[in-house]
Amino acid sequence: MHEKLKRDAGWALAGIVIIAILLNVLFPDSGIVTIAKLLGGIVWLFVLPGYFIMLPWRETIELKERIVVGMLAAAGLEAVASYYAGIAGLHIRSHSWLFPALIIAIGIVLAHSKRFMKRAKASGPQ
Amino acid sequence: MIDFSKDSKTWEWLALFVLLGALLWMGPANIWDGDIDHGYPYGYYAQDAFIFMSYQYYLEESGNWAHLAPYLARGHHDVVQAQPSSFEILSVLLAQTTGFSYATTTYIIVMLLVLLSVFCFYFIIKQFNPKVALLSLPLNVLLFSNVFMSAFTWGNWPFFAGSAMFILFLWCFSRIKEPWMPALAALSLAAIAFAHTSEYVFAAFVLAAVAVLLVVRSYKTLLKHFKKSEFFSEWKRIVLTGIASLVITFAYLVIFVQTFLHDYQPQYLTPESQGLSLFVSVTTPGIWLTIAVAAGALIGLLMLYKHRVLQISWVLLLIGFTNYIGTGKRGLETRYLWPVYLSVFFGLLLYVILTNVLKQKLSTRVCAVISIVLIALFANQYYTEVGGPGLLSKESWQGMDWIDQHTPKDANVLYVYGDAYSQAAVLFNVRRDADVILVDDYAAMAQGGQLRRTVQTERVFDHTGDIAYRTGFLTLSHYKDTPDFAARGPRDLCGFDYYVFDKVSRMQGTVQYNAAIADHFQQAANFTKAYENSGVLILKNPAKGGDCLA
Repeated sequence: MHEKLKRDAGWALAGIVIIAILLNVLFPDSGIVTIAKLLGGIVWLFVLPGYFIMLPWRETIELKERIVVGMLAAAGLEAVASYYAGIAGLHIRSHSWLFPALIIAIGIVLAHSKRFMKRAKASGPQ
Repeated sequence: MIDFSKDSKTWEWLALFVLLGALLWMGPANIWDGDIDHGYPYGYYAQDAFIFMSYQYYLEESGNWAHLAPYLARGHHDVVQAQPSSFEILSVLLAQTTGFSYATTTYIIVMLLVLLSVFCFYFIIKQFNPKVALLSLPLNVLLFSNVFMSAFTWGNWPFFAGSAMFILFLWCFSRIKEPWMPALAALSLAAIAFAHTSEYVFAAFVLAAVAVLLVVRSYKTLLKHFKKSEFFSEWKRIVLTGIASLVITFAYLVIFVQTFLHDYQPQYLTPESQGLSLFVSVTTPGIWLTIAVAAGALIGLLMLYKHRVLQISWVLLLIGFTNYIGTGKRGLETRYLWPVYLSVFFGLLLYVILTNVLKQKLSTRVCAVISIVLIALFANQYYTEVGGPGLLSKESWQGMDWIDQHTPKDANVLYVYGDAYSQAAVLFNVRRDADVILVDDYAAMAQGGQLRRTVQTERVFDHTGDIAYRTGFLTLSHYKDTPDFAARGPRDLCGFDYYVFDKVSRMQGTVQYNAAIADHFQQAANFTKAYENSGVLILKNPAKGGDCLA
């Protein structure tokens, strides 16, 4: 499990570096700090939570698909959660760190849950 | 060593990377002139774009999406925020994380969601056939071609947010038999409603149409063994998914039904009636591409039951024509994503042609190289230069920002004349009770050479959500028909705290007349200069309601 996480992290990091270079070429008037802030924000809000949302399918779906789908899923989940949390009285000021952290934490707990991962593994390709 | 063998995944990576580069070059890099963060609305070409950005200020101030800002609701604090929320919420979260302005993060979120949609749909097609998926990539380039581009620059943004969630749902739908998938499907279906609710209705269209297709194909078997059929086990999951999504979205659907669907009349629009430069028609991409996609769609029709993506794409194509049966603008705008939705047909046509010409199994390398070449060709052919800040100048934006930061919350502002303000919702971002003099009345005063105490103005407030307020837990009523919410009418020229005069215009005469009015106010009524830059002058009225024309 840890090996797989490490391997995924390595690939994801490589992807981020390549995209940073691409952005640097396409947005020559943006400094490296702006690009770093943008990518940092996207990784924190969407990539990391998305990765953990997609953990149940880590054996059946390849990494790039899980990252893309996971980012969309993280966007959807955070938007819905933020809507209700705001209505319930939790100011949006705290949502940008709270929800990604919560999703990641739940993901880590589930990744260490033998029962959960066994079921995910058992799903296998259809 | 990088593997470049004929069926290596490297080729797929390369094709996807080239597409990403082409889309970024044609879209964001083009619209934003090579700079990510301008710090003010850059590449905003219509008032809709300004509307969706403006909501974020009050979202951050109030902490939630419950109510419309009082300055957008004529001072009322209880007007329900009826707009779908996802896109603005995500933009605020990104602004908090990166420190960028809302003007920047709003656009970034739109572009990010669109790019993710492109690749998510690619993965749906890949389940059908990886080679067809690769060959389908070039059509996506048209997303940022002429006409399609206006959906971005004119601010059709919640549509893209809703469609991104819709495509996520379609991805889940295509894998619904897998464990845990109904949970993600329910989330994505709910997220559609919070992002752009009309796509939620279209999702129901897609589900109903696919269900009918499946029933038509195997109704005899279903009649005999319904409960033991694969259809039953699969659609049981889908129905549960739908119910779960309804539960999640209930709070917002209550608002949606009583605002956007309140007094709703079917609209029968055509691209021609809406302006062919704004809405996509069948021939927008050019006759050859239209023929190619149509031919691919016919092939897709012949093999409709081979994979769900073919059924989905066909239904999405048909949804693009529902404008003729009453969905109006909502049906028409789905056409902005035809380059994504119909890409499978383009790929399918190429696949059929190539396999028949080459008379052998296509390799990943051949498909990726053809895809890359076509992406480059299409990008070159369909590149449409945009550039420039758009509707509002940086100086006018700085004026608005100054008003927000340096005037009392209850101050009111009169915009005398500016080229951008004929689209009055631009002024939602003033974040104060604001009016703008109607162009006809301004012209009449200019021609008469005399100011009048009573002027005709447009009152800046948000009537997109029907100006509803809660009367109970599940019930809403509406302010919209009360006199207080007349959009246009007479106002006392001297009854404002601040006056904004644009110093730059396409019409030189207005610059001179604005300057003459400002001079008159300063000399005759002791107005003081509150703020000035090279684009705007803001005057403060020392005696609101007094005689400013003396």
